[in-house]
Amino acid sequence: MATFFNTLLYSCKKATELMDSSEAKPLILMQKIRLYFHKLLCPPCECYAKSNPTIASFLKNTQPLKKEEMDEFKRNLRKKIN
Amino acid sequence: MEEKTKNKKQQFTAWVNDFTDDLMSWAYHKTSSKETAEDLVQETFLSAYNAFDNFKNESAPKTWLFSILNHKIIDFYRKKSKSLSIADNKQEDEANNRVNDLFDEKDNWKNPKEHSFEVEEHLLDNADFNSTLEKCMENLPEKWRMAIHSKYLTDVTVDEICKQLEVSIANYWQIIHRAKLHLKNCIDKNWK
Repeated sequence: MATFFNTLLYSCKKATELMDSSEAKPLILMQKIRLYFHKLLCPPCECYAKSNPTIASFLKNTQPLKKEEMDEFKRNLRKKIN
Repeated sequence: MEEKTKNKKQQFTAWVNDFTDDLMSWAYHKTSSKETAEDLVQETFLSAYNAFDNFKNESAPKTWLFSILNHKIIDFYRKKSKSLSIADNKQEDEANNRVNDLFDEKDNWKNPKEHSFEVEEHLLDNADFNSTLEKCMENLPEKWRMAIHSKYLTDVTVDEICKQLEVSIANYWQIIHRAKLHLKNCIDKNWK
């Protein structure tokens, strides 16, 4: 039985790899099904899948400088020019 | 003559006030480093100041400044790829080992219970979470950080990123995957 599951299901390493590479290369149906069942039985991998959008929106929203830092930076620039 | 210099200075003060934010965001997204972005934007303004007489109002000032900045960014990467040092490689090896160490001999999670990082709504409004994630980003090897950062820029193609980082496309997706594993693990360990 264990062997059966091992053949059917991906390892966690493979599963997380496929989740990330699916952005570059869409998964075929069989891969999707295998991944679906893997996540169903493996909470850490399910958690990994869910964390992706959070990390993405963090990166999209990161601004380099806080408002005070930006003001200071502009002040220095103006000083250099004048 | 003095009148001319005075006008130039006034003009530049206005440009600093109006365009610094956009130039900084662009430089930061392109280089993933606050310090580098600051340096490049400052150099951009200084170069523009020295070349001001060549600027003939044919393009919008903002477009002109951005084209100078883009040249600076290209130069930065050119120098960077030449100087990617042994220290960087060592940092990458260590990071690779840490990532490999997350899995057991059957390639399953070594410590499945460690995955405490649950995604909650409004997590990104949480200042503690943001600063943890920021620190985790800083711990990534430089190449990985650049790769993962530029990935989320819709206006940069994967081809372009690969060219800048001098990696193949297959290698790039490996880097993205490893960087994400690294980040996830770092958050699990450091954020409660």
